[in-house]
Formats: sequence, C-alpha cells, structure tokens
Amino acid sequence: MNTAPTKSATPVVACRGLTKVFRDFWMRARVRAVDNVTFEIAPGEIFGLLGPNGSGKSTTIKIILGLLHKTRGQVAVFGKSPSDVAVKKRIGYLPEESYLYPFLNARETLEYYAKLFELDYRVRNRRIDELLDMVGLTAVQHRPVREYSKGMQRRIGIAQALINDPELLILDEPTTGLDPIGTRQIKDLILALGRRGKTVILSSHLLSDVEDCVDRMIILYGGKIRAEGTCDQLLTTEDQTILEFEPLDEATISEIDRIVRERTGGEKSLLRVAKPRQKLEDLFVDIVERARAERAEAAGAQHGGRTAAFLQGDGAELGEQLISKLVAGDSAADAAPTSAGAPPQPTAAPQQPSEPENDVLKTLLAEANPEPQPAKAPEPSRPATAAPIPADVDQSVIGSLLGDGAPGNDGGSRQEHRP
Amino acid sequence: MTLRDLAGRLGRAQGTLFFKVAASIILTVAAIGGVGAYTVAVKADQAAGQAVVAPQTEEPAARQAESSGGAMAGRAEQVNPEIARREAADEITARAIKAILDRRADPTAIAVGAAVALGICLIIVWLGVGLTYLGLALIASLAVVPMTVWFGDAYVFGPPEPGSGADALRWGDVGRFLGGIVALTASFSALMQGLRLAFDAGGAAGVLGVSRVAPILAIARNVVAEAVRMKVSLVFIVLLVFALAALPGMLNETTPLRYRVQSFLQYGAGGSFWIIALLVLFLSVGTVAFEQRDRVIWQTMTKPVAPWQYLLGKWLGVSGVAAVLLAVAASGVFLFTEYLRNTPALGESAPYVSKSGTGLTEDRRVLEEQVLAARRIALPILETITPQDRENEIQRRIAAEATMSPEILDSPRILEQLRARFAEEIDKEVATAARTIEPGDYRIFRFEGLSRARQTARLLTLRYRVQSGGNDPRDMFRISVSIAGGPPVPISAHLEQTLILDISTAAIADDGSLEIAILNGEIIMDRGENQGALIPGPATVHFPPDGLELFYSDGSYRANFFRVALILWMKLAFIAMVGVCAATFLSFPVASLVAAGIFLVAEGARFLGGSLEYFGGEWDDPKFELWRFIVRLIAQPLAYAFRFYADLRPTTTLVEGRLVTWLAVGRAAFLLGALTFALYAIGVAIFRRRELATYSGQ
Repeated sequence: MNTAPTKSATPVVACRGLTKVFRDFWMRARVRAVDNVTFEIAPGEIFGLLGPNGSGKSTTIKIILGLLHKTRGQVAVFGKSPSDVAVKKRIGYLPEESYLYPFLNARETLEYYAKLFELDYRVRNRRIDELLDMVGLTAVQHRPVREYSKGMQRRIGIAQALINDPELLILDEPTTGLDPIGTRQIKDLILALGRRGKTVILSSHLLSDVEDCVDRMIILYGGKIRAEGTCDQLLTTEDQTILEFEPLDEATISEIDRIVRERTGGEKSLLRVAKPRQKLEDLFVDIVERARAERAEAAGAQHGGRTAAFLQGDGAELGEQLISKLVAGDSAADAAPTSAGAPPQPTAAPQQPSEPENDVLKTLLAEANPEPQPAKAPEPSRPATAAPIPADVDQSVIGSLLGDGAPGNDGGSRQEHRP
Repeated sequence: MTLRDLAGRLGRAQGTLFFKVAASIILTVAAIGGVGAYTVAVKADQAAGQAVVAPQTEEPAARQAESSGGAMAGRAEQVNPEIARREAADEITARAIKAILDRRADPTAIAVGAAVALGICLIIVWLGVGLTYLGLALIASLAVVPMTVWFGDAYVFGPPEPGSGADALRWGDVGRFLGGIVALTASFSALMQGLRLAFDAGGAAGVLGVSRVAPILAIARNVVAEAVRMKVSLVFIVLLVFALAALPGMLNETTPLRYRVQSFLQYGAGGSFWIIALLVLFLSVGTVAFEQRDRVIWQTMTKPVAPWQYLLGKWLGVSGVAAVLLAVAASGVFLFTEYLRNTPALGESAPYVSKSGTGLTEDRRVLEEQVLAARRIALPILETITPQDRENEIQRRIAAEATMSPEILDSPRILEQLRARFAEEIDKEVATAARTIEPGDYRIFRFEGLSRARQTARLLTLRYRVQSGGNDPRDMFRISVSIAGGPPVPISAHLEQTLILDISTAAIADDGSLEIAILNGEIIMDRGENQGALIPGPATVHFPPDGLELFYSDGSYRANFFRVALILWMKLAFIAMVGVCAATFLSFPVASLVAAGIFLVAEGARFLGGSLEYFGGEWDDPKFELWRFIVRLIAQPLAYAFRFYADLRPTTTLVEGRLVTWLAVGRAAFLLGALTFALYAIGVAIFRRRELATYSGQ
C-alpha cells in the first residue's frame, strides 16, 4: 500500500495549518476559503483534491503555485517557498479553464511557454511536435487559438502544462470541456506519468476521474479536510470478496457456492454472480476508435492519443536513443506490463489496428519503467478504467436504488444477478 | 504550368538560401553602385557649377535681418566705420554660401536613404518574402505610376473654383499618397518581422549560457505579436501610416520652402510622436492589465518567470514596437524632408539656383542655415549683484519693514522668513534689471565662448523678443542694435514677437566673445552734417529670460535628426514604463487614465510649473489656503519631477534647427533612464506582493 507520508524523501508539497482568508477592499474578512488544512504529498504520488464547487480546491492549488498568498500556516513546494522561481521549473499547471493568448496559434503558444523554461531550440521543437501530436492539434496548429473550440483550447492547455516534462503536475479540473476520448487520454496520461514517478495533483469534482487515477486523496468541504486516505482505505468494502474466472456454467457456480457454504459451515454463501460489463466510457472510446480505423474524419481536433515520447521516459528524449531503445527493449516488452502489475493501457487495444506506433509506445512505457516505485508497483488498489472494479459501496447503493440489473451511472461494471 | 504552380515555385524559391544570398549580393551591389554613381555625378556637376556660384556674393546676406513679422531691418549704409571689417564679413558670408552649396552636394543623405532602403530590403529577403514584396511593389506601382506620372496634373474632382485660393485634389496627390502608404506599410511590416526575429534570438542567448534572458525576450516577442494582431494597436498603426502618407499633400506649395519644411517637421515628427505615444500608452497598459483580467498571466507566472523578468519583457516589447514605429516614421519624415530640400525654394528656378542669378535666395539661405541646421545657443552674461550688496539690501528692506511693524524684530522665525523672501525678490529684480533698458538708454549684452562659432565661419543668429508694459502686440517699438561696436542698426519690433537678426562671425572677438549693444530708441543721422539725433523709445523695454539668445551652427542637421529621434524613443520608452507600472495594480480603464494623466502632466510640466508660480497670492481669504495647499501638494512635485522631461522638447528643437549634443542625449538617457528605472522598481515591488488570482468560489 502506498502510504505516501511514510517516505523519507522531502515531500513535494507540504501544507501545515494552511489558511486563506479573502478580504474585501476595506480589509474585512469576507470568506475563509481554506481553513487549517494540513497534508503532505510524497514524490511519485497521484494525489486527489476532491470537493464540491467552492470547497477550497482551487484556492489550495493557487497557494501552492504562488498565485495566492497564504493568510496563515506553512506551505512548501519541493521544500521551498511557492514564490521561489526555481521551484517553478519543476511544475506544470493546468488551470481550471483555458486561459490562452487569443492572437497566438497553437504552435506559437507552446513556443512561448517553452521559451519561458529556457528550453533549447531543438528540444523545444521536438517536444512541441510530440505534444501537438499527443493532443491531436497538429493539423490545426497554425490556426489562432481564439478560433478553437473549448475542448481544443483545453487540449492546448494540457500541452502547455507538460512542455517542461514537469516533476509535479497540477491539474485543476482537467477534464472539463473534454469529450470522453480526451477524458480517457488525460487519465492515461496521469497514470503514465505516475508510473514514471512523477507527482500529480488532481483536483476535481468528477468522482470517476479521481477514482480511476489517484493513489490518495483529501476531500474538502467548506475549506476543511473532511476525509483523507488512499482509494482503498476510503472505498474498499472489507466484508466481501470478489473472485474472477473465465466464463463458468451454472453447475460450476453452484459447485463453488456449495464449497463455500461447506467450508464456512453455512455462514457464508455466494452473494451474486455477474458478467463484466463495459463502462459507457469504454464503449464510446471503442466506437470512436473503430470509426477512426475506417478513416472516418472528424473536423477540428483529432485524437492523437499517443503520449508524447518525452513524457514517457527521460531516455526517450533524443531520437537516436529512442530508436536504440526500440531495438533493445523488444524482447522485454511483452511481459513488462503484466509483471509490473501496472494497469493495462485502456486505449491500447482499440488503437492497435490503426496505429502501429502504439506498440512502440507500449514498449516504451513498459521499458521506461522496468523498476517502478517499489511502494507503488504491485498496486492492486489503483483501479484502471478497463479493469473490473470491485463492487464498491456507491455502486451497490446506486444499483439498489435503480433496481436489479440497472447500470450504475459510471460504475456499473457488472451485470448483477442474485442466486 | 498553372499560375498557382508558378506562385508555389516562386514561393519556395524565395525561401532558399541560394536565393537569399544571391538577392542580398545583387541588392548591396546595386545600392553601392547607385550611391557611387550619384556621388560622381554630383561632384562633376559641382565642379562645373563652381565658377558660376563662387563670385555671386555681392549681396552680403549676413547683414540682412529677417523677422517672422516680415519686418526687415536693412543695412545702415550711411555709416561706414571700418571697410576692412566689412570685407572680412563679406568673405565669411561668401564662405557660408559655399558651405551650403557644398553640403547640397554631400551625398550623405542619399547614402543614408540608400542604407535604410537596403536594410529593409535585406530584412525582407532574409525573411523569405522577397519575391512576394517585389510582386506587391509591382502591383502597387502599376496603380501609382500612371497616377503620378501620366495623370499627375489632372484633377480628381474637377478644377478648383476660381478665386477660392485653395488647390483642388490632383491625381498626382492621390498617387503619392497611395505610394507613401505602400512604402510605409512595407517598411513597417518588414521591420516588425525583424524585431520578432531579434527577440527570437533569445534561444541563442540561452545557448551562449546567458540565462534568464530567454523568458524576457519571449515575453517581449509576445507583446510584438499582440501589437500587430490586436485591433486596438493596429488602429493606431494604420492611423500613423495614413497620416504620414497624407501629410506631404497638406503642404501649401505657395508658402516659402522653409515654412513648408518647418511645418512638415513639426507635424511629421511631432504628430508621429503623439500617435506612437498614445499607442505605447494603451499597448503597455493593455498588455499587462488584460493579461491579469483574462487570467492568462496565471500560466506565465507559474512558469519560471520572476516578476522583474515579466515586467522587463513587457516593457522591452512595447519599447521595441515603439522603436520600429518611430524608425518608420522618422525615416519617412527624414527622406521626405530631403526631398523637399531638393525642390525649388521661393525665388528659385531650380533647386539651389536663384531666379535672379545672384547667390542664394533668402528662403534657401534661412532654410539651410536656420531650419535644416544644428545650432548651439549662447546666452548673455548678465550683471549680478555682489553678496555684500545683496546683504546690505536685505538689511535695508528689513529695516524698512520694521519701521511699519516693529514687532517683527522680536520673532527670529519671521525675520528668517523675511530674509528668504527679500533675497529671492532681490535676485529676481537684479535679473530683470539686467534685461531691462530705459527709454533712450542702452545696455551691452556680452556673449562668451563663441570661439567654435568663429572657426565654423557660418552665420550667427540673434533671436530676441521685446516686452514692454502690457505687451500689446499692436505696439511697435524702435530699437537699435550695434554689433561689436559697429554702427547701430534700427529695428522695428512688435512686442512679444520673436525676431531674428543675422550676424557675421567676423564680429566675434579673438577671445570668443561678442558684445551686442541695444539702444531703446533710434538714432537719426543727418548725412550732410555727419551727426545724429537720438529719439528715445516711448517706454522701458525688457527681454524675457528666453528672449535674447544667440544661435550658431555646429554639426550637421542629419546627425541632429538622429539624436532627436533617439530622445523621442527614450520618451516613448519612459511612457511604456509608466503604462506597465500603472497596470501592475490597476485595471485597464483606471490604469489608462492614470498613465495618460502622467503623460500629459509630463508633456505640460513647463506650463504647469509656470502656472503654479502665479497660483494663489491674490486670494487672501484663509478658506482658500487649504485648497491651495492641496493643489500645490499634488501639482508641485509632479511639475518638478517632469520639468526636465518637458524641457527636452525634441521636436521643437528639431524644427528650430537647434543642436542636440551627444552630451544632451546622454543626459536625457541618464535622467529618463533613472525615472524609468524608478518606475520599474516600483512596478516590480507591487507585482511581487500582488495576488494574481482572486477568490473564485461562491
């Protein structure tokens, strides 16, 4: 289990008694947006900030970024003050909305931000190419940003947040305005970065976003922490066990039930048998990918999907190195994803027919992470989108509310049937 | 091959290195060859013309006096003190004329023009748009050339009404206007692109290991993009281009050439400065304020960009845009002025050739010596009061005051105040007295440090302004001026009008001093008796502090023009910082108002300072005291702080043909730089403390 604060390394972000009071013109306290919040984020952690609108998520993030000044308490980013300029070299930030220069085009926008990091000309151009490809804006890179749709602007926002290959990525409501493909891409990206040992802070009120990705989270309400812990700690139902099989016939199921009853002296029995069911998100992604395979073209943003090479490992920075890695890492590639226990790449399967590079990426992803964070690697707790999800609390609640067999909104991954 | 294919091929061709190198070589060779051929032609022309021009000095122009009111003070021929001195003066005059004609043959202007044009062409070629521009230029000339060359004299809306006095619009004017727009727009876009390339070199700075520069240049480059692509600033740019292109058409060709050149310089340089200044104001405020309002700044400031880098980048970008606009406007004004200079002046059959065939015309001579010149100013050394006399006078006045109210002697505080007041009064009185002449009396004004002027062998110009009583401009005074002990020249002077008197450098003594005696009145000579009678003036006359100045040429007008442009740019850069600083903590509308207010106060600081001197004093009612105190509290520091800014007056200096020394440029750079840096420091301090995000919850 990945309980971050126990790590010896300096926490990436440490807040102690953090309080923010907004004042009006006459310096009267108007609102206490963050109230005595204490938490730490360890290196390599994917950290969720949850809460309804106005709960203090964005305020906390902006204090961490130095866009707001704390009223009381302590805050340190990489052990330094948020106003320290050097710290910002290691941070990528996506605001809750896309704030872009309307007069620049996508490429110029990324060039501008890349220059702020003093990136070398060649590195800059390669990263911009890869990022544009990743967010699917290569074809429209010379159109002014003001002509972009909201989703396209969001994509360029994501690209600018990644231009410096940040150690700490702060995503404020990253999936607003994105279609399911884009949403899925963000989640994949977060997981890919997590596997590379990057730290991610994810703020959202869309619970499925958070649940699919994060290691640990805090839930804020009214500026105060109401709950804190890993997904498992908060979500696992301890009094049930789930087994998974290849499809079984009724007789075998009955037999299993019989054995269970026998062994427990009739105290426990099989509660329900279900067939895995795709999430709507998976289905949607599947349909779009199939359409793409048939070369059906959509206007505007294209779904690049490939995570930029430079984000997949430090070694992938240079083209030559990339090729050598491809050649050398071929044999080790196949076993890596499963043996490392990393969740399977959800987009990988549907993309395979249309994009042969995807194999390359899979290889890279696996290869760039031969020895993942020890604490994280064998992590069954981080549920991947395509993996069967344990029957968690809210799903059963939704299930019972909707009646037998009705799918939960975003969690109903099984067809239920009670024996 | 279709036209599209051809265009595509040409488009690719102009981007190749081969094309760029070849085109650069061809252009450079053509420019050098052109200037060389012109120089040779002019020298030959000059050699041929020498024989004709040299002896034409029978009329000693140096003795002519000219005033803006049109009053002419002729030479007092009756008196004939030293023939030798007069001959010397004539010789110097002849040399001055020759100098003017030599200067005309000087190919510097053509060389400068060619260098500017070549620079712009090279930028265009290396941007990979050489053929595109060439094509556009051809298309433009297809429209412009027929208009100017073939139908130039045809009227657009029919001939003018007889007797209306005004000239009607001709096709030639329209053609020149269009041509001007095309040329200005092309130079502007090329220079702007060049500026972007320069800021792009930030990456190179990073490669060289100069860190922290790249973000500044990236921000600056972004401002350039914003200036071109946002409508607000584009409006000003278009306005500038149109105004500059239209201005030459506004000049009335019947007025003397010198006035045409002066108005063109005044409106061209002054008008351009104001348009660019307004653009700079709104661009600098907008680029910082809108970024905060639209929250775009969040992404910039969460990158490794320190507040000092951010503000410096913004300022640099705006100043760069200002520099490009000023460069376009200034070269436009400069080149057109040179064109005007090479058109016939009043009384000339061809440029520099007088219709009467004798020497230079008045119009030409004033233009060359006083307008397109770089002249220094000398002020008279005035009598002062010795400290002992001053002290005695103060004591006397205190004693006089004490006889009326003896209690003042008991209060040291009041005594001290009185001393200060009397000291100030006495100084003012002495200075005024030294510039005052009683009726029938005369005063000698001594100018020193004119050794350089003596060597240059040009003409000296005395500028003076007579004041008396209520300064009714209808009143005319007769005064007489005697140069270096020479015969008194009677002059009719309207009050409060600036008049000009030319003086030969021969009048300067060996020690570089020159004495000018001014008589309040007139001497009527009886030729037969050889004696004169003095007719005193009707009242006391006075010369204000800026009303008695001696000008002499020192340096070239072209270099002066460049220095004036530099000072104009420094002022723009200062305005840019005012805008940036105001926008660090104010929203766009408020910051614009504040910045515009500061700009106007700075421009009008002379006027403001003058007004404050007379502010109050007449209202003894104590209830005005507080009001007066508040006004002074705000206005006085502002007037004081910007006094020096207002005193720069680069456009006026240029129009009056006054020299701007490199020392003056350095002083302006130092003082404006200090002001700009102070504002920058304030801006950074504010920006560091500022919270860029606001509360976003309910």
